[in-house]
Formats: sequence, structure tokens, C-alpha cells
Amino acid sequence: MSTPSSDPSDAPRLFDTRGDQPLGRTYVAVLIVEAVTLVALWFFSSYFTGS
Amino acid sequence: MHPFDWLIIVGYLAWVIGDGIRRSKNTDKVEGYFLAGRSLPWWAVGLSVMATQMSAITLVGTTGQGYDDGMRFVQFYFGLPLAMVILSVTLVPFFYRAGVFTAYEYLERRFDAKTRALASVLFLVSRGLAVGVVISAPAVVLSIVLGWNLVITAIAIGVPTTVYTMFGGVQAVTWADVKQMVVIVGGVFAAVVMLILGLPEEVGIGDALRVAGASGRLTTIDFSLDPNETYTFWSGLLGGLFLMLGYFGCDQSQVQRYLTAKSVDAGRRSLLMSAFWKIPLQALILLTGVLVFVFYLFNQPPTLFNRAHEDAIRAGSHAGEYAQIEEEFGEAFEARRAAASVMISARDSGDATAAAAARAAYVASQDRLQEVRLRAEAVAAVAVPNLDLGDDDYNDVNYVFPTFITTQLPIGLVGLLIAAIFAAAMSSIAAELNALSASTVIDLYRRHLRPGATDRHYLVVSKLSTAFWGVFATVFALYAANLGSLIEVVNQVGSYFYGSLLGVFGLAIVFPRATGTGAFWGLLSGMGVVALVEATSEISFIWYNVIGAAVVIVVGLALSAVDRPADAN
Repeated sequence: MSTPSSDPSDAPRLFDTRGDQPLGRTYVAVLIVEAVTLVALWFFSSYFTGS
Repeated sequence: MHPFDWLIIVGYLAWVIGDGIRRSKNTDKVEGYFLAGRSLPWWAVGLSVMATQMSAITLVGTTGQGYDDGMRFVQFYFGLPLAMVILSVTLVPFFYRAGVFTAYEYLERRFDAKTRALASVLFLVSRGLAVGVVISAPAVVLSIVLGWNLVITAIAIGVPTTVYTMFGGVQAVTWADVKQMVVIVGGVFAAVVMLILGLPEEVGIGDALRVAGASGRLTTIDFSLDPNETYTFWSGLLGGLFLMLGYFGCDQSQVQRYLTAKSVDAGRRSLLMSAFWKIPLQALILLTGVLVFVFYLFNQPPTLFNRAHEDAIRAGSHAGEYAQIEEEFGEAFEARRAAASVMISARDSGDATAAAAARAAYVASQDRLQEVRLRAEAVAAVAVPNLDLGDDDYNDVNYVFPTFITTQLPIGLVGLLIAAIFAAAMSSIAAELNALSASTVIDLYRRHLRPGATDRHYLVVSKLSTAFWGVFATVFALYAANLGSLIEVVNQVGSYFYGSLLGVFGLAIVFPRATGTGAFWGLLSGMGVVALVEATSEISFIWYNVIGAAVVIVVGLALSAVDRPADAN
């Protein structure tokens, strides 16, 4: 269990990558999939909504 | 309902409760009860994250929105993948390495006890009420559509969920979520298949989608910059980003999900599952609603989907007026069905002029039907006793999908879809009860009321706290009926405080000079300004998150600048 402390320096750092597996490619994949999904939704909408 | 459908529902409930109680054997410590000893695989946590966000309101309300308003609502989730990437890089490893049980625990380390207590109380109040709405949504709808007693329906949802959450802790919650996601997604796919099979022989799926598109129900992206418009590309991308950052980063019911993962990377991957799948899944659920709309183009729908309200109108002084409206509705339906068929035939003929004319005639027939339906809704608004609409218009969109399920699907699928609605409700409720208990015990009871007791004592209190919140939510659910479109209500409740909570975590993490006094008053100011904006403007609720976060940071930094000299001593 954590112990309360008034010292902000006890806090973990915001961008703390100690021991992490690199997930950069996964993050890029998320953004690419979102872009592709939005474009697909736009085409779907345009194709079936247009006369 | 057929006995076989009952068997499926009862079997589902027994399965979930039995498995939850079986898992109580592994939760003999507080850390096991709330965090599963940080041992769960990423895929189970990821499915739990998705199941927690997908309540029965998602199934019932979103399909209703698809039927009534089309697919525009999908834009609400455009900020989610970005939020998941940001959280995976920042808050997930941050909370995980801080070794906390609750997100608010960190606020005391960084600021002070009063800021932690305020954030925790805000969470308890807003989430405690929201979980009541999450129970009431399916309870109200199922009780009316199936003719069940409302109190018994609410109890049938709330009590089993409370039982397996109370005994099994977060292990039971997570593994039940995994099963429930299978039931939900399976149920939605089954409904889509039945809807497609239910189209008239001469109408293909492409024809059906073109007819839906002609009535504006397939519009998925709107680049409007109007801040009063709730569902636009920009509100979804920016306002939705802040809402999702607040929900997944500061709401204990989600933070607790990824704190149960067996490593930081497992926690990250669990969130990224939603980043990949949430928008497609939401689009599928909305498309299900659109397909229900297409189904009712060729099969006459009820004038109002709320059967109890129709019965009340027919029994009251507006019965004659309503009978006239129903007759006009039947004629308008027949005219629309004919116009839709002509539109499909005209397009197949290849004559562009005839196709355009037929399309215009169909759109006019749809407008005519809608005009009659609005008159029926206006009658309902004044004729149904004890209908407290407040400033909202009458709407019955939450009854569309359940009505379709119970009146059009075959034996077996009715039970599966009703079980899916139960599953969607229970998955969200269980995670929220577990989180409410964690915050109550860790942030308030252990910190302020009874510090220094044994782990066994806190475990017993945690189970009692879960039971308390379960009973509270179930009782509150009975009062939460008739709140308009329920999905918007829940999202609005969240938007009142997510932005401000996000702001205070932003102060804590990004601004080393921010002080406890600045954070505390900044948080109150953010909530106050959001309440003021809500009361005095027409700005869509999705922007409240951006406003709340910005106010907390600006006020917090300003007060910290004044407060710092005293702190430095």
C-alpha cells in the first residue's frame, strides 16, 4: 500500500519509460487505423447518401 | 416470452453469479480484491475496459439513436484513439508505478488530503448516481417492452451484479466482463444478420442502405464548427478527446481496470484494444439501429415505441385525437413504403431523372411520416400521467431496439438479445461498484475514519461497501426513469466533472509549481464555471470537458503563484 508523502519529488515521472517495451509502432498503427476508419466512414456515407 | 428464452436468461444469470462466487476464493486480501494482485492478462483487461464503457445504454440508446438520427453519433468517439495513445504514454505508467489503488490517492501525495478527498467525493457522487441510471435504463425499457414489474426488473439487474462483485471482487468483475463482451458482440451480430435476412426479397442490402442514406441516416461526418451542435467531427475529436482523457484517466472505474494488469505494458495494451476497436464497434451498433429503421420501412412500426405510454393515451381523454393520429400514421407509412419501393425500382432502371424524382418523393414521404410521429409525441407529452420531461422533448428512442427484439426475432434470439442487454448493464455496473467501493474504503475510510486497521478488516469493509453501493444504485435506479435519452444523460453527468478532474491531474503532473491550495480551489472553480456555462448558454455538453480542464489549470496556476511564497517557508 502506498504511503502519503508531501514531497512532490517522490512522485513518478510523467514520461517514465524504465523497462518498457517500445510501443511506438503500435501507437502509429492506432493513428493509421483511425485515419483509415474515418476515411472509410466518409466514403460509406458519401456513397450511400449521394443520389 | 417463450420458456426457452427464459431459460437462456436464467442460465446466463446463474453462469455469471456462479463464476463470480467461485472467484471469491482468490480474493483474501484488499490488493487482491481491488487490483487482482496486479496479475491479469492484457486482453482480459482490454475486454473489461470495453465492457465497462459499453453499458446497456450503449445497446438500447445507441441503436435507438441510429434508428432516429442516424450514424452521426459515431463522431462522439473520434477523440478516443488519440486519448488512449496519450494515456498509454503518460498516465498508465504513471499510476502503475505510483503503486496506488485509486487515482485520487496520488493527489494527496502530490498536493494534500483535502484535494484527494474532494476528487474522491466528486467521483463517488457523480458515479454513484450514474450507476443508478445505468441500472434504470434497461430496467425501465425491459419492464415496459416485456411487461415485467419495474422494481423486480431493477432488482434482477442490480442484485446479481452486486452479489458477484461483492464476493468476487475485481477478479469476478473482469472475467465476467470477458464473457459479457462475447454475449454482447454475439448478440449484435445476430441482430444484424436477422435484419439483413428480414429485408423483402426484392430489396438488397445496397438498396436498403441507399434508402437509409436518402433520409440522412448514414451521415457519419459533419465538419460544422457550430459549438451548439453536439455531434460534429471537431466536437468529437477535441471535446471527445478531453472527455475520454477524463474518463479513462481520472475515473476510478476505468483507472482500476488497467491497474489490475500484470505489467505496465499489459495495462497499455489493454487500453489500446479500445483504440483499435471502439469506433468500428460503435459504428456497427449505430448501423444496427439504421437497419432497424430500414426494417420498419417495409414493416409497420408502432406509432410510439413505448407501449405503456400508448396504453395510457388510449385510456385517457386524448384517446380520440390519438386514434386519428394513428390512422394518419398508417396512411403515411403505406405512402412511405410505396415511395421507398419506387425509389429502389427507379434507381435500378438507370433513368437518372426518374431516380431523382423518386428520391425526392421518398424524402417527402419520410418527412410526412415524421410530422405525424411528432404530433403523436406531442400528445404523449401532455397525455401520459406523471411524465416529467423538464426542458426535454418527449422521445421513445430507447424502446426501438427492444421492441424490435421482442416482436420480430425468433425464439432463442430473443433470449440471447435480452441476455446481451443484461450483460451490457451488468458489466458496467460491476466495474463501477468495485471502483466506488475502492474509493470509499481507500480514499475515505482508511484515510480519515479508521487508519491503521488490519487488512482483513479493510477487506470486510470493502465487501460491505460494495453491497452498500449496489443497494444504493438499485434504489436510485427506480427514481431515474423518464430522463430523456439516457445515453446523453450519462454522458452529460460525466462531462460536468471529467474535465475539471482532468485539469487537476494536469496540474499535478505537468506543473511542478502548482500547489494544493491552487488545485483545490481550481477544481471547485472548474466545476462552478461548467455549471454556469450549462445554465447560461447553449454550448454542447461535450465542450464542458475542455472548459472545465482549462479553468482548473488557469485558476490553479494563478492561485499557486499567490500561494507559493507561503508554501516555500
